[in-house]
Amino acid sequence: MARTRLILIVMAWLLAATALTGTARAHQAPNSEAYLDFQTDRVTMEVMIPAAEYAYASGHRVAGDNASRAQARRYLTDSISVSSGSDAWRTRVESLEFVTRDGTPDLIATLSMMPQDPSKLSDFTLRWRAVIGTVPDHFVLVMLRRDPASKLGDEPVVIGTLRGGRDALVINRGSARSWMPFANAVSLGAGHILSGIDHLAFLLALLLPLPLIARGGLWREGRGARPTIRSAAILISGFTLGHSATLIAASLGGLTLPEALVETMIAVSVLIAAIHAIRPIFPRREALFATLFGLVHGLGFAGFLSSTDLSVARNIVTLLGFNIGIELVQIAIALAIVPALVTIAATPAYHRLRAALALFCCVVAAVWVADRYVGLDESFVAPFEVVVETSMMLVFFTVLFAGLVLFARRSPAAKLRTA
Amino acid sequence: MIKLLRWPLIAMLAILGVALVQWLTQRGNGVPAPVFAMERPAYGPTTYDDLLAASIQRLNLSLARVKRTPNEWLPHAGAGAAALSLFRLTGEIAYLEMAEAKIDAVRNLAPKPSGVPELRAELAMVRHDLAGASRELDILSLASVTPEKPTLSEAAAMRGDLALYAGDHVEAARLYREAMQHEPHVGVALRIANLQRVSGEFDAAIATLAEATRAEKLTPVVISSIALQTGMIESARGDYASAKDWYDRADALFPGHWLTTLYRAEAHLAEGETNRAIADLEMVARDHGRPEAMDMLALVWRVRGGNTQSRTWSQKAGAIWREWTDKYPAAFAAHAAEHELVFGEPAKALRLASINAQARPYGEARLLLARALMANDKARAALKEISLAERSGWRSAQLFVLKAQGLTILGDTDAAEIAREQARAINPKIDDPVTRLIWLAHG
Repeated sequence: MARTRLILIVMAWLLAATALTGTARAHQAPNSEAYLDFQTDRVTMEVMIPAAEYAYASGHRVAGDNASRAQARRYLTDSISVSSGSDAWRTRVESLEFVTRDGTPDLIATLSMMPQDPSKLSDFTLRWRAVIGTVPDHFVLVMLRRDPASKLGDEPVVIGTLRGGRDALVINRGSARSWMPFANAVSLGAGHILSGIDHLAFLLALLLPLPLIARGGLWREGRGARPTIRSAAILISGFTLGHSATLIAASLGGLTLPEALVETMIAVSVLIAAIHAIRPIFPRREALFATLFGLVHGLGFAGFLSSTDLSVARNIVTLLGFNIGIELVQIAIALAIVPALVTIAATPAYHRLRAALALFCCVVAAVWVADRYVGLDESFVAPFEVVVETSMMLVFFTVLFAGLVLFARRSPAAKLRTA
Repeated sequence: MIKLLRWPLIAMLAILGVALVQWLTQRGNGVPAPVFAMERPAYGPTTYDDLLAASIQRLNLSLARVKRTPNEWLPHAGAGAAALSLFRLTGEIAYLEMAEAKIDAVRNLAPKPSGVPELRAELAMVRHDLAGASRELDILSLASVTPEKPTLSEAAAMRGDLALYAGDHVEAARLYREAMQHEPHVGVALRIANLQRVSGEFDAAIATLAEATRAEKLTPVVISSIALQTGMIESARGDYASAKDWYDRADALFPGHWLTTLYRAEAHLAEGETNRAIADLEMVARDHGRPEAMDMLALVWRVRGGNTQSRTWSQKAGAIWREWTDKYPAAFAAHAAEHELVFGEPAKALRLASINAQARPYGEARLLLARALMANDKARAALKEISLAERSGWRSAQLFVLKAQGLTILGDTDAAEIAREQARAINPKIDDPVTRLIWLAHG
């Protein structure tokens, strides 16, 4: 029975490890793409047009100089329009650049589209003649990416195509549901903490020494499940308190600090927590440390919000939802990892595991500090981040797996069978 | 700790073990590298110009015989065959018209059911008239005197072609095997390799071609076309450098052929040597009046942002395709549809692609129709065509790219991603910007 359980756990581990490999999504050249994001008073549209098609259709040059960009702006303003009934919306090109990705240059622009009456931000008609009016096999894939009132998450959903023969697309906004903005904010918060490995590394480094007692400047024997779980709960709550305070202060009160400083401080917090996991620096003060540095992490969350979704940052309810999303993931991770740590801490192997993981966090944090403070070469940082992300997940599943194995061995059924 | 991680270690070792066994197995029993016998033969016309001169001479002789005995059908048949060969070599529509006139004369002059049904079948094939070709082959099979082995072999191979163009890969393979049993010859081997290529069996196709070069003595034009076909196979799986090598070999074996120049220009484009490619294409467009070269030029200039040049070339090509499709709608519908899709009108492209798919409902025609349907906002109908092509056994990166496009338009992004992966499995370079310049060797 225990053997079957072990095999199942092995399979689950392998499946989980396999699931870490994400799928790459290539840009579908040479067609254009348009991503719609609903804001409170406007719709923004990110537009991607293959530069070769743009040059052919418009007769304009593809270059990074101001004149070429101005021509492209005019071209987009002339060939893309939005209206609802007799209300012609104001369309403005917010940003525009020519970007080469995977060897193919694209025109990337963000347009903001506003109705005369901001309250009438509902169904509208998108008219588009750019490129499709000239190139017969060209089409524009129109996707709804973000609509906090009617759509959960920001995974793009195809809502239609535009072609030479059909240059207008009626966009019917889904019916607004009162709970949707809140749910979106929860999802955004959960997604952010899951993808923000620095926050996870901080938590992991702080949780590592919790099951141990510090004595004589070293981490010693285990201190049992109950006090460890209690300390973990206080630590998580302290971290939440800290980051919630600055998140609200930054989002609603306008508290700001330079982004580079905040990001560097976050990396420093991981480094200190990792050193503490190797040698106790502030034993039994982990919750206080988490609360203090939680303040810095909160500024990081606020920075993320202001760069992605301002509608969440401006509203107390959605801000609360974002915090809850962060909190839910933290609790889920703690619920999974703390019992595993407690179980492994009862074995002599835990000291080596703790030291190895803490050292790993140390190295990673040191690189982050260097990168965020002085800036490292992107060709190194990008693959490094991928390796760290994958390693973090592997660490998580390995600890979980080891804890489950030990737990399975110590379960009453296993003991009975041994007897 | 090691005891603790015993199970994951065992699992990892098991995976490594399986991988090692697989590697050793493949190493031991892998497909051996095909060996081509590509020495330039010492007989037969050695260049395009030589062959062209010989073919024209043959035609002139046949025409002189026709002039001497205008009421006999055999000289007309000879002239028809010579004109058809010249059409195949030069692509000039005037030779097709002449072949048609001469073969019609045979039909009128020869007492029924005599005549040359195999030649009439060949002409029908060139016109993409599958029913007509099938009818002629039926007549051939009813002949009171059993035709000779080469004729029987060619007839079976042509029936194989009919099956392939009807989208029946299994029947095509059976008929090609039958042709081989009558008499194995390079014409059948080339067809088998083509079937293998469009079925995605690239290694097998190359092996078939390699074997064909070793099996019999071949003329330079044939051996060059084998090199060309090998290059097309390499191109279909994204090995553009190897494709270029083969196209270069094709040119060295039989210099001066405009078709080889087109493929070499395509290879130059894939290598980023755009100026060289443009020079080659302009030469083919100027000296041979080939609309394919003009379309390629129009596309290259479009990608380069050369608006005026692109329009000039596409207009020239469009005029030629229009003229040719007016005369032979089915035979040139595919090329013309392709042109309309990229430079013309989607509605016209759909009409032409439908004519083409109706005449020859095989994978390539269905994929072209699918592209035209998508350009006309009919993604669901396009996916149906793609599914029919896939079910027929057609396998190409283009098929899966189109499928991904259709699925994306319909909002099924997960299935689209799977299709995109399938496309990449066939041609790892399918997403590369250079792949869009591959005008000839796709499908």
